[in-house]
Amino acid sequence: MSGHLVDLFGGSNAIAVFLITIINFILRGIGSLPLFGFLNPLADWLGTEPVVTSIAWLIAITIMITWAAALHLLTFIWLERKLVARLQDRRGPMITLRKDRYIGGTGYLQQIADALKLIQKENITPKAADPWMFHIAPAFLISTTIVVLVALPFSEGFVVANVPAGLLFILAAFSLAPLAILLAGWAQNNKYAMIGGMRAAAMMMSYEIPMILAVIAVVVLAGSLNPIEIVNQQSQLSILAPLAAIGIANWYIIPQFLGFFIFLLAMLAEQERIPFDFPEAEEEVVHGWLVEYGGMRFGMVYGFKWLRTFVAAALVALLFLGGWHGPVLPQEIWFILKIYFVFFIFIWISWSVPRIRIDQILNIGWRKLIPLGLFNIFLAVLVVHANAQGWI
Amino acid sequence: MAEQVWINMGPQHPMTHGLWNLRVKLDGDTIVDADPEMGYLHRGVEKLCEVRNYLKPIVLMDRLCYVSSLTWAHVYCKAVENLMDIEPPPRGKYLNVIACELQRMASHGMWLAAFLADLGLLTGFLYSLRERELVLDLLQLMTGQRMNQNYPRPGGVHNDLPPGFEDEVRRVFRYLRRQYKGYKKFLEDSPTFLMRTQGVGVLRKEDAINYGVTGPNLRGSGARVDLRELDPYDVYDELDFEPVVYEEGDTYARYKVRFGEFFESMRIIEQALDRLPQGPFRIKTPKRAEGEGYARTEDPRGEALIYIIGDGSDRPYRVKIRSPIFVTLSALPMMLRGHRIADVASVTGGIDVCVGEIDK
Amino acid sequence: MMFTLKQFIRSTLFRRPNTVLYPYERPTFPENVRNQHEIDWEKCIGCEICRKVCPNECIYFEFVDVGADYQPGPLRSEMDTIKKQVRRPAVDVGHCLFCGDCEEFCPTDAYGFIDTIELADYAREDLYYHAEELMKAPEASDKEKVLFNRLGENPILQVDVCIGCLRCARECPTLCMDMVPGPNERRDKPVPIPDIDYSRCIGCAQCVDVCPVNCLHMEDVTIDDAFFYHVNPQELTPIVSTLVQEE
Repeated sequence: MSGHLVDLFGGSNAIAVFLITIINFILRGIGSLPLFGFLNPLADWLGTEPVVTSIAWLIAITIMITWAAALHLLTFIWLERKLVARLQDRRGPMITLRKDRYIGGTGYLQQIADALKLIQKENITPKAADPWMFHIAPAFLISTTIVVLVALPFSEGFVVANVPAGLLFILAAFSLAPLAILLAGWAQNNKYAMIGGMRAAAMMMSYEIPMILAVIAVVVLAGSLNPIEIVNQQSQLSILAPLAAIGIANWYIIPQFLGFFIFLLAMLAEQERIPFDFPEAEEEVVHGWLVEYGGMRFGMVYGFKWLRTFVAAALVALLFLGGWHGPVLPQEIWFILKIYFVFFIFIWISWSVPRIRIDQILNIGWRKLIPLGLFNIFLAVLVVHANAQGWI
Repeated sequence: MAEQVWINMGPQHPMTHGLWNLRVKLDGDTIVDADPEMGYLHRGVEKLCEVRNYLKPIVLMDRLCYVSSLTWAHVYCKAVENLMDIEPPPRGKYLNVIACELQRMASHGMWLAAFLADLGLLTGFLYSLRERELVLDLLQLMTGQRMNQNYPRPGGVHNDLPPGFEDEVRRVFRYLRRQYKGYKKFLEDSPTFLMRTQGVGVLRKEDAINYGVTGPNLRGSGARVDLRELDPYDVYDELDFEPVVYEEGDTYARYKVRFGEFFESMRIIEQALDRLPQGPFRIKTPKRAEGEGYARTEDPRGEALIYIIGDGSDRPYRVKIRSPIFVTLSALPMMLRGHRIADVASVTGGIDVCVGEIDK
Repeated sequence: MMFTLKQFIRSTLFRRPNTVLYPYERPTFPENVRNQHEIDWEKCIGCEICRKVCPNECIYFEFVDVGADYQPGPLRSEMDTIKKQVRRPAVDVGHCLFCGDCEEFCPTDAYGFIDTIELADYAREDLYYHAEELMKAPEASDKEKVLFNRLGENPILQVDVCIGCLRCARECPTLCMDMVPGPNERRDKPVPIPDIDYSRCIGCAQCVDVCPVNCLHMEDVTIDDAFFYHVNPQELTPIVSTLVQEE
């Protein structure tokens, strides 16, 4: 077990203190002049604990969003393109900047080029659409997912807010998206978008219940709603002790394989990935609830999918794959590796199966996953009970 | 949604594979009625043929169905041969059979690709196109072009086989057999694929016959109707092959029929290469003809029929084209009724729509 | 699902993906592929058969003025010798179907196709390729003289209608017509009629087209099938994708 590299809040606090020291130095310098004496109380106020903490919070959130939404979002989109291309025996994006001669390249700048192209496009509002709702829906979608990042830990230190019931907050924020999708679908006043929005709402509602059931089982095992606590539990619970020697022993995927499976499926559904992508099925409802969006609004609702993928992969790694626990490497690196591994599983599943029909999806959700989820909770309780009784 | 709404799936819709419009009436998510609208791609091929001499419409027929161009040029050339009452030399017939079966493989490859993309399996789309590329390479080697080959001629074919073609074919077929077996396993082991295709778009045998459905769609409904066997043209009566017939009549049966035809086509081509006689591959045709001639062949999509009247000049007086999918589309509303809107893609993808040929 | 994983592993670790980086890597074509036209001026005789058989009628003939000491290729006919010009085909690629009928029916095998596939252009006028642009380099020509009647037609003269205007003889691209005194007389002199050397006739029907009194018409002739086709299979180049070769 190795330590964590980043202490996000401590670092942010240090940055905030540093910034405020500089500002205060300037302010006091000016304040020593005649007529500018009123700046000294301001400098005093800036130096107080609540202000420093607030600024540290803002810095931490900025770092977190830059880290997740800029760095990993771009990498995710790029990686999806490349991995899918390899899955399909293609190369994926290779050249972003035009050259006369091929001198190598991986196409990483393709996302930025796409974004630049989308920003240049006109923002078209359909005549019959409700403009206010139409324009607010993408922002709503993005923000619901970004809010998750506040409580999502990347290591023991790399977390903005160590909330006691963080998991509850994450899942609550994560589940707000269907509302925005329904809003987007409805506001466009388009038959395809309407069908897509309704499908999204129906599917997400039916898949959030199995997701919550799978999480409840984990919570029963861990005995906590705090993500950091859950991860730490995964290195301590003494099930299958022989495997503990190699460091992966107590990941909840072992006692909770069924739960892992349910949660993975529910997460695929939450991201609208291919077996569950009928809200935006191209061959059926053109692009579903995305159909009327153009320009950067389309880019936002399109990129939001990968942000959700990122959060979903992080949640799977957090709840079932032992979070940041692993030998030798620092915690952050382990966690990122696990996130990318889960992401590869997502890609692999979603590009290997056809899309399922809506009635079949709802059947699977309500008739199979929910009973399985309940059974899974029973299993978790059994494991905990057996553990308490010393049976294993 | 209590009220029923019409939805236009077309003319610009990812499902349609071209310019046509399928209007579906929805009750919620269920299809109550469907109404195909064609004619967006009408180019007047029949009329264009009337102002060209007998040789020039071959390129028009190539463009009739851009997925399976060679077979249409072939049926036109057969009709002209019947009109002029000439008989191509045996080598020409064999070469036509080889080219048509290669084209059938390419067409079915395109069908598989589009069908899987309709189901949302883009990976299968690219795999299928990758294998089709090999068949197109063979066609290019044989005819000079990948698509729109302009290869069959009245009285034979355009050119002889290039040297080494036979080895190339056998090498490619060894590879394709292995690959397609892999795809078969990949698809038929996938529960999601079965969920989307089994029991969808059921077309009973009697209905299929009454609607005039032909080709793989009819054979998927359990009728053993294959013009290569029933009314053998060229040299199909000398070759040993088995029409692929399945009873169920749903999209899955049609998928299995077409998938089986890949392997049957490979068998036919290999036999034809084994028995390929030496000699001329083309004879000269007269320029002018009088009377009438028709030919029907087993197109990858069904029964292709061309009927030509010649009035003694060097141009046809009238050319009539019977395109199989145009007829098959009339059965589409019946197949769609009661299904979900998501099944539209599965059903229309399953019957292998080619708009160029529908609209002529 | 294992199938796709296997494919992923194979195309990532064991070989390059199947696609080519198109502008940087170019596909290879077999010899008989039909892309951009290339006309061998050493062989072309300007008979305009290609213009007539073109299904899309996208071949036009241009008059190229040449000096008296013009070397590459024969002059078309007596007419062109007088005017010091050659007629050579120009192709409107914007309408061309690349069907290869021009190559198939060319009586002197002057047509060929080269590997240039990037024919897209900014304006429709740029798609019109003038005769000089399509000329094959004279040193690349094998200068083999062939002459086939691939249309299988010969002109038949109605002697009584002919007025002896000599136009057909001057237009004939193979110089197969000699004017001889005919049976009819005009002002006590025999009307000259064309004597057609059918062994050199290519059936191009130029004489029919220029005849002012329609005294010529084309009729089918039986010709040797061996000369009828000429699109010969070329040397095989390896075109079938690398996928198979590695197996």
